[in-house]
Amino acid sequence: MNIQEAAQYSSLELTQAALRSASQLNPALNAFLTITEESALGRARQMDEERASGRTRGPLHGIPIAVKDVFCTKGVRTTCGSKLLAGHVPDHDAAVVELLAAAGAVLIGKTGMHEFAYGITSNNPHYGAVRNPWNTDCIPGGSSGGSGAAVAAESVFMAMGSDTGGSIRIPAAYCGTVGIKPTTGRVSRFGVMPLDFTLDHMGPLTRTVRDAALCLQAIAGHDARDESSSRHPVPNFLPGAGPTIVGLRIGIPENFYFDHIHPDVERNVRAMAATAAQLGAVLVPVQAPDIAALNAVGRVILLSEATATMSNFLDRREDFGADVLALLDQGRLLSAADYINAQRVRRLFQQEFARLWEHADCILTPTTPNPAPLIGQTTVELGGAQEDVRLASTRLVRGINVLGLPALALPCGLTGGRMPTSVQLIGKPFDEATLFRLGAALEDATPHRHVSPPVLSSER
Amino acid sequence: MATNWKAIAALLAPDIPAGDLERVTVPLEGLEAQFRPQVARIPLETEPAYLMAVVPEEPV
Repeated sequence: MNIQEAAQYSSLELTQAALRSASQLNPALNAFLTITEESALGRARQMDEERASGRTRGPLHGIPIAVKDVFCTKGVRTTCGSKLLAGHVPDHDAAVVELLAAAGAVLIGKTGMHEFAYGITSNNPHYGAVRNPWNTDCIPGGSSGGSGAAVAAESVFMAMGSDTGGSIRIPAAYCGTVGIKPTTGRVSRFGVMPLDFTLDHMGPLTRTVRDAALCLQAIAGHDARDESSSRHPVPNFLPGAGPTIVGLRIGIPENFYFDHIHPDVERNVRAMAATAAQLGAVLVPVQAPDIAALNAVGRVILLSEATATMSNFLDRREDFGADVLALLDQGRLLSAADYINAQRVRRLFQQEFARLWEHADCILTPTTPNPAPLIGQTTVELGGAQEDVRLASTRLVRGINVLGLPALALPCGLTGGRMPTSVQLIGKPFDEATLFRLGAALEDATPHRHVSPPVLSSER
Repeated sequence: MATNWKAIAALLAPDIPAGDLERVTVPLEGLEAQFRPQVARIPLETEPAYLMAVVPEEPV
């Protein structure tokens, strides 16, 4: 069931089902850090009363959702997955939380995540590992791992994530959900605990492309409280029925993006490209700039900014997990010149990547080179070589944060081991609408959205 | 010339335990190898990709 189909049910029915699912699955998945049952039920009743009195706020009216525990929620604990903020109860809502509430959504809880959103496993040393609904021995990805798991397990229709180097798209890929990282400035960062001031993005993880469009519609737009927030007009994101992609130029990179990837990932992603061609799109071979170097630039920026963000906590080394602490220590050793030069090279890459738009309207790539690794796995074999799990998982997504471009991840079938694979659609600045149109066309033309993870069969 | 990250750590971050040093310095060696060639190609006039608005922009 998607958000539009859910409108036939009362909010109370939907919310009770969501709460039941979240509670029943949490011992297996650990997707939720906090479940706000009482307030959710009260809110659902309010939404039903409003509907009965003739007031409907829009497509999210009465829809149960969750937000990653990086979003401030007034009166509700917001830990950022950290021990340091274990008792933090904000006195305000994040802008996104305000907007979702105004749209009528019902918040049922806060999802688990990698500590401080600084990693991709969501194997949290303080709150336990979040587990993948497709195989609970595997990571869900991260840092928005709880959001990916909660959506894949169909506990909620949407869970908000944040994405600094792939943290929406990686869990979307590993959990088999849709995830959109919007253009920089599209969604307010106000009230979201920062990791990196120039790389953080906020966006939804959902069951379908159209659900992602509806959710982004509710949270996009200018916010004066966030200096990076854009005044760019917000178009209608929702693709209609039978969206056409005839003549759409889809760039298929000839370099980097298909190197050293799992054969099942390559097969499924190329099959999606072939489907797009069958629907009338034009596949255009393109040469991407040096994405490995772009990723290195992103890492220098992230190491520097994250360490600056966390500097007041660094005297409490024992309260950090080992992996996050190592990254923060790396940031301490980089120079100011390194950071500023990374921001200068960033501008060069922005100009170089922009040239691709002369030949293509969007770019199609894999989201991750591999399916979800096991919890605790540190390397993955790709193309005959061992690669660090963190670097492999971020390899195809990190650079897009540096460029600030929108990117949509959507499922493209399973591996032979029945784990999800994902295709990434990268768009021009502020052109999320084209990504949703292409994504919806592909989703309509393929069976991938109708496949559910095994954890749902055991629940039912 | 490659940076001596261990020497920098000893100066800037002496509280990093010796046993943790490899976890910090080895990734930086790999990162430096990819990053330094990029710095070498920056034109002199290239500004960093961040801005501060002295006053908030008026709506267009």
